[in-house]
Amino acid sequence: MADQLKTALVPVTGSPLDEFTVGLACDLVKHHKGTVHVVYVIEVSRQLPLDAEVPFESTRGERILVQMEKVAKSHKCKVEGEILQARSLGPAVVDEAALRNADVVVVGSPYQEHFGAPTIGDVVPYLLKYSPCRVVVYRDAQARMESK
Amino acid sequence: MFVIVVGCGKIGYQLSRALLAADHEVVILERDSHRAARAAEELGSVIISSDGTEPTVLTEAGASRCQLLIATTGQDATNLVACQVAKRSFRVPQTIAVVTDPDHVALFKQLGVDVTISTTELILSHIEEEMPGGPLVHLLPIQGAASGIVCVRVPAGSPAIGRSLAVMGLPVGTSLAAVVAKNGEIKSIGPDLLLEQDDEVVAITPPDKETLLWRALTGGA
Amino acid sequence: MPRNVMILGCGRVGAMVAKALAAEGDDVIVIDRDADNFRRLAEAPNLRMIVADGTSSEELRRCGIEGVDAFISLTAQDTVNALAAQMAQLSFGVASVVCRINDPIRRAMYDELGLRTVSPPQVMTDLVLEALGS
Repeated sequence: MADQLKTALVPVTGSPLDEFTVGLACDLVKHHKGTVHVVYVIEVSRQLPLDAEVPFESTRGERILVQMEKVAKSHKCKVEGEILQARSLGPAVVDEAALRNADVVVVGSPYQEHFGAPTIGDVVPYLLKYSPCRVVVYRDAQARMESK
Repeated sequence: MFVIVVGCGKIGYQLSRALLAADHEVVILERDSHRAARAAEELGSVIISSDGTEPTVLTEAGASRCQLLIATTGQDATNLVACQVAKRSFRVPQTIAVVTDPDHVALFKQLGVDVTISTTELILSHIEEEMPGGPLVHLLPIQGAASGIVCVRVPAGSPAIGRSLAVMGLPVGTSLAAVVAKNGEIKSIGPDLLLEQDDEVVAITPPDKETLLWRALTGGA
Repeated sequence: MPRNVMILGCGRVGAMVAKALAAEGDDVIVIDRDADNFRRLAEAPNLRMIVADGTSSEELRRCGIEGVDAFISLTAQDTVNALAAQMAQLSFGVASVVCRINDPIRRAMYDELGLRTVSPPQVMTDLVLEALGS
């Protein structure tokens, strides 16, 4: 690759894919002694102010971030975790990528169906369309859902 | 302030942009998904592509903690129902409706819409203000009352010149608030007050008496 | 004694109500924005069809709302029905006003505000459940 990837941004949600995406991001940046930023975005309902206290979600996010920091360390990679509150995931990740000057966003996409048809949801298309930097999508195999 | 804007046409879009620039929290509800998508590219994730007259949509938009709802669609019926649902079902303290048909202004007020903005009347009032020789200038609408504060300059040749207030007779429902002479002197208001050329007359009047008041002070047709 | 009834909206429901009232001998005025919709009705001496915008008080007046005993708002749009019905009630003082409101939550609200509302989805649901039960 012509450009060096030094800063990766990984949105995590608590899905089994998080480990893979964080690991993948570490592999992408560690040759250049880069950093992986792991973000857990709390989507706050519009019925609450954006800065409302959401203790349950915050605790969950912190737990997930601690786990992901371990994953990154096992890959011997520098990692920083952050919890964000936003109205929706896609725009929050795009803003964060711009703010961190990220070289790449690595996002997981579990295989999912909507009304009986496969779908990739709203977030991945949004990131592909609006991300200021490269985007790597790790779409999971179909089998995972069945084995669960 | 947290503001819900219903409709993202030209008015809704520009209004939302201004509110966001002034650091207000804004949610825009636009039924047309293409229009919503286009506006979202400019304004970010503040747009929900749904019908702002649906109670379920207003719930999702956070109407229960909203301080002001402004309905800006081109359809008076939509704007009325959005304001009524906001007021009745969500206790939104302040509602504003854009009104295209001036006949609806009084009805909307009667039905609980706090402020109506009639685009037609707005344009007309500006045309009046452009009229030469004693224009009627709207200074301020009075909140909660159907009256507004206006200002008229007495032009040369006005039948009001030299006549006392008692003789002149103002339209019922209007009253003078202040009269300022050309030299800046403030005249005291009473039945003996004589109006002179170039007096600035500040008056309180309901909108439907404006023309009568203007005629009485300027002699215009 | 025949009544003067004005019906806004000549969709399937509006047309059927108009026909039924005309058959009973009432004088009926049907208003629709789209002349095409009047194909649902047949000419009758006590049935007038007028193309007009029912959300405009001026047009309602032109159609003769000031002389009617009843106003029935039956378009497919809740918002149009709500505006027209409240106008008939408050601006024109029509004695009997009936208004179609599809959305159940909005319907409850307008009921509280003193409109007489009819909700086709609610009526259909009740009838279907009744049919199932029998």
